[in-house]
Amino acid sequence: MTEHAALIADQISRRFGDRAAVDGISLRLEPGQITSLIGQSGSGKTTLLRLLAGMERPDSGRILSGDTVLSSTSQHVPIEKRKIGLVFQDFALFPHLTVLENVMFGLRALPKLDREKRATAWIDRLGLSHRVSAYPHHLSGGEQQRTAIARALAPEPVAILLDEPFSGLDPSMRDQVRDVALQAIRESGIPSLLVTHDASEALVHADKLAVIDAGKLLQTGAPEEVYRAPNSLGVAKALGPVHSVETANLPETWRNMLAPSGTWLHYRPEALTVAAGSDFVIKRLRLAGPISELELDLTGAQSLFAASQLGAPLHSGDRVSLSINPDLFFDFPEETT
Amino acid sequence: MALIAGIAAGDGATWDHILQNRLVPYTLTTLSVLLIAATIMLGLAVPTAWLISQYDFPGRSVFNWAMILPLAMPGYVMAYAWADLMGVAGPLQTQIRDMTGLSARDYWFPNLFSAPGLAFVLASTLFPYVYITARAAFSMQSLTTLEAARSLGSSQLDLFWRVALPVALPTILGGLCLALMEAAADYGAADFLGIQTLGVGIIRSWTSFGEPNTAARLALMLILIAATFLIASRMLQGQRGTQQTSSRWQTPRRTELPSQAAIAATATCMLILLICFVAPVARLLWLALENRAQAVDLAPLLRSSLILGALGAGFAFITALVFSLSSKRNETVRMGARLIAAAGYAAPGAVLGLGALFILRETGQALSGAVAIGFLVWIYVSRFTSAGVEPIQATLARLPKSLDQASQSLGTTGLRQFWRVDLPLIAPGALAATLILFVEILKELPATLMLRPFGWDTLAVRAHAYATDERLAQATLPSLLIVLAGLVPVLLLSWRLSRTERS
Amino acid sequence: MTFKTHLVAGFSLLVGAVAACSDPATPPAEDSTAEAQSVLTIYSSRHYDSDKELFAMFEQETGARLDVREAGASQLLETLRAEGDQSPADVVIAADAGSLWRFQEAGLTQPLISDSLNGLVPANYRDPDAHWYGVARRLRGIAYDPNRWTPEDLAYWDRLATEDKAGEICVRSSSNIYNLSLMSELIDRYGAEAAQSWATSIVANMARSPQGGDTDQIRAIAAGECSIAIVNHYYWIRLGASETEADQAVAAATSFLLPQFEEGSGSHVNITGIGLTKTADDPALAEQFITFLLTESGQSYLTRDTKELPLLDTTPLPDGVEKVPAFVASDTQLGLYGENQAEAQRLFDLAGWN
Repeated sequence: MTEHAALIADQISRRFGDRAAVDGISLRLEPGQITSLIGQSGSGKTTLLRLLAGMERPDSGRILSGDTVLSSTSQHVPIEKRKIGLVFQDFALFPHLTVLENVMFGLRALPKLDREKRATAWIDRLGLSHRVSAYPHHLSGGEQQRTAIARALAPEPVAILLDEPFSGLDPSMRDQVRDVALQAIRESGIPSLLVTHDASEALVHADKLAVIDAGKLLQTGAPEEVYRAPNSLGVAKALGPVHSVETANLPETWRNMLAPSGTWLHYRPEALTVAAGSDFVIKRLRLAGPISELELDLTGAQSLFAASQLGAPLHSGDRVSLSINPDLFFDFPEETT
Repeated sequence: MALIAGIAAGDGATWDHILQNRLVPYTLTTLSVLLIAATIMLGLAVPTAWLISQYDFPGRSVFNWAMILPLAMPGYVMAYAWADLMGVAGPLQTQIRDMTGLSARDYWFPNLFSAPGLAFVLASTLFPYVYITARAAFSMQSLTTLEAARSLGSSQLDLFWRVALPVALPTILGGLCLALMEAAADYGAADFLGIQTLGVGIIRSWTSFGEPNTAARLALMLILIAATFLIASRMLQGQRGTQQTSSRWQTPRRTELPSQAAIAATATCMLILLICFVAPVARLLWLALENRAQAVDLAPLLRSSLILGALGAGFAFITALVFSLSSKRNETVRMGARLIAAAGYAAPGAVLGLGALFILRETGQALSGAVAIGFLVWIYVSRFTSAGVEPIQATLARLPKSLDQASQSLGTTGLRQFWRVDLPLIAPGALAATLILFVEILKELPATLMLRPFGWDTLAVRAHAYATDERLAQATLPSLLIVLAGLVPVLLLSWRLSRTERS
Repeated sequence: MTFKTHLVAGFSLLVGAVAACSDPATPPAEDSTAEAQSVLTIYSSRHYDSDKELFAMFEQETGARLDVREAGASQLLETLRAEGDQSPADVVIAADAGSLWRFQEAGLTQPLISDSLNGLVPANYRDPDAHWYGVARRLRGIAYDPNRWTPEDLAYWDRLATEDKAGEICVRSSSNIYNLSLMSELIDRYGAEAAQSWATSIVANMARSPQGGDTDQIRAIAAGECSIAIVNHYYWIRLGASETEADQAVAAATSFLLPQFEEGSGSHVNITGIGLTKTADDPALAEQFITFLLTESGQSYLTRDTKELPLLDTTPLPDGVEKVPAFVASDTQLGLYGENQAEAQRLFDLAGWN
């Protein structure tokens, strides 16, 4: 397998009218790593993807593959010359071609025999050997997406960009398809960008996270790091449920332990663990698998939200105490809810 | 089928004679005309549809709807105009002689009075059917599929040949089959140009050679050919459904063409419109003015055309509605309804006209007044109902079954349900079909020629009569009026189509 | 389902409405007020404005009403055949004796024996059994390039068959009734073999394969594609009478003559004729109508727009027709055209004349 270079976005911006869809973003997609781009719809992630793919030209900034400039204000390698693999949510297979022909589509430069060999190898790696001559409309969603990934990888692109690739799949098969697909991508050493709005997918499968909002990258880093130490409420919210509480209402002991700097503190529900005691009344309780979600009465109108594994069954109206994990409390100085 | 039995009755030449002297040559001529016409139609319609759906160039938004205009032009009118333009004494050849100083015997010039000439004439009036389907197929195809292809290294040309065309081909061929059915049913243009197609052969065998059984067999062959196209189109369109459209990534739909390519695209579209619409219409206008053709008694002709067109389209619409609704929830009845409608569509007007004359003879009726109008409308209905049934059934198929139950639970049943729920839902699609019907009936010649009662000469009939008399100048006015009367519904339809595709 | 019955009801209502408003141009024949008025129903293969004026004149003079159906001759024939005994038709008008013969042959006409008509129409221009009468004459002749040929070069039909005419002749397809009738007279005069060999020579001398109508052949001479065209006289006359300069130029650049078959044979003449249909219920009115056509005004209206020759020598020629050179008419009985028609087509086919 050839050595791959990183795909680098360097201070790229793209405006549509008055609105900056992408605003000075810098991002490195390292070879052999899966970088996950997380953001709400309208946050600019699709525009960023289109810029990287060459479907749009940046207004400023550069896009490079290693040392090769793909986009700059003066240069633009068009999409068909850029060698960037694309995978879409709707699979976008060629309906008139078989699995093998789909995968061979991008291998035109090679002699026919090599093309077939290369395509077959990728089809094998994605576990589709038994479907080689099937047409897309005979394939399941998972098989279609694996074909699409094999098709994108087969020409050994400089990078592969996946746009919500698994969200169209049936949940029962999503995990399996995702494991096979992402492993194949990682092994290929091709830098890859996985665009998703599913935080757990990003946290579990990415080597690196990039959180985008309003055209700006809020934070990049290892999933664990971003999850545990978000640099803003936006990032924290992007990765999972976050609740806010006025510091003044917190019990004294907690306040001392957390030493808040402002009037608000933010926490993930799993920061609170139920323990025996009678400090709080359970207002509402919801069983969510092994974890229960509880709403507890704090003083006045405020509630606390906990996600906790319960030792014994509880009911609303019961009284409990809570222990806290300070790591999952976030103190963002400027922000209020 | 009763019609066929009717035509088959009576005696005439032997089977051997029919086979050798009529069936084989007429069939071969028809097939070669259709083959050439198919090639020309694809050549005209597919590239323009691709350009117009994928690219931006000067005039694109005009060409988008203007490409449908030739539909208003009957094949025989196109034949009159081009026969005059291309004739040895016509403006084109005169120009060539003036410019080169050659005499008429010194150079080769394409002859319109030939099978390829007829194919050209038919193709240039019917290609919009192919254009409409091709444009729809191209604009509906998944953008992501095209972008995936580009990311895999496909140039614009590759994209067309390797992805867009193969994916859209079944739909396009479906449209082509319908256009070919219309071409196979032509009588007026082939008769004028003296090409021995089956359509002409049926009438000649019957009336000039007095061989009704020959006519019957030719008719059967023609129905067979048309039915083949019909079934083929159904099968091809049935294969669709693997195409997905994506709601994402819709931003820039059309690519701006670089200046040279844009000029070429504009020029191509302009040339096609010029050949298929502007030049023939302009020539007819010129002839009309030059000869000071007088508009004697055109008003009753126009009135007959419009009344027959409206009656035919209206009845076909109602029939289509009854067919569709009575078969609404029943698969067997639905297939039956489609089949009956389709059989009528496959039978050319000349065949139905002969069948009607036969029934007339059996029942001992005179061809006048309400009887004749009844026959004519009946033929229009059987010929064109299919065009109405298809969109209505397509709409009905898309409606959820729960809608019926929901409206019934609200106490709306039977006729009330029809007026308040079904009709508003199917009306838009069906109206578009009715417009097409109206235009087709305006242009219809052979059946109208045979069956119209006293005082019901239509524009088409009069134009044909004048043209057969070699009085082209007089034929121009009724011909132009047909085009004009057809133009309004065609424009409406065009506007509707481009609107639905944009949304 | 209720909506179905309602739709059916609506359908029948519409049918009723159609029936009620049918025949906008002429009131329905069954109209009770028309009972007293006599009606003559004409099936005509002509569509000329002067005919309309002519018919109106007849209506005014006689008080009878004329219902006219215009269509091609073969369409009319098929309609008559289909309508059978129920046909409203009283008379049928068709161009070319060969065409009239087809109606007779199909059993759709009946004799109208009339001494006065026999007195008006020369014997060879009417059917011996009185199934039809000629009312106007049409001449098939030759338009030619006068710079190329003298009238002497083309004085007889067999002079078209000589080698010096190779590549010079334009003519329309053989299935055309005018060509069939000309061929029929040739067969009658010289027999099938000679007629076929003549046709074969014409095919050999053609400048192009047969296409278009007679007017197209004349235009082809002016354009230089050929120098001889076999055409009916009125097409040449109409070009000269045309509103456009181009057409007038075509007429000016060509001459027209009427060849004989041989010295003293006279020239080929055809007719537009009228026959009494089998279903006619008022032969007297039909005879009155035919007689009217043979009056001086009838003759001049019949020929005004068509540029045919009046049947009666006494009637002045229509405008432009005076350009037709003087000729002696062949005395062939025109009924022969029909009798030889099938043979004529067969010989054309054998000669390779499309």
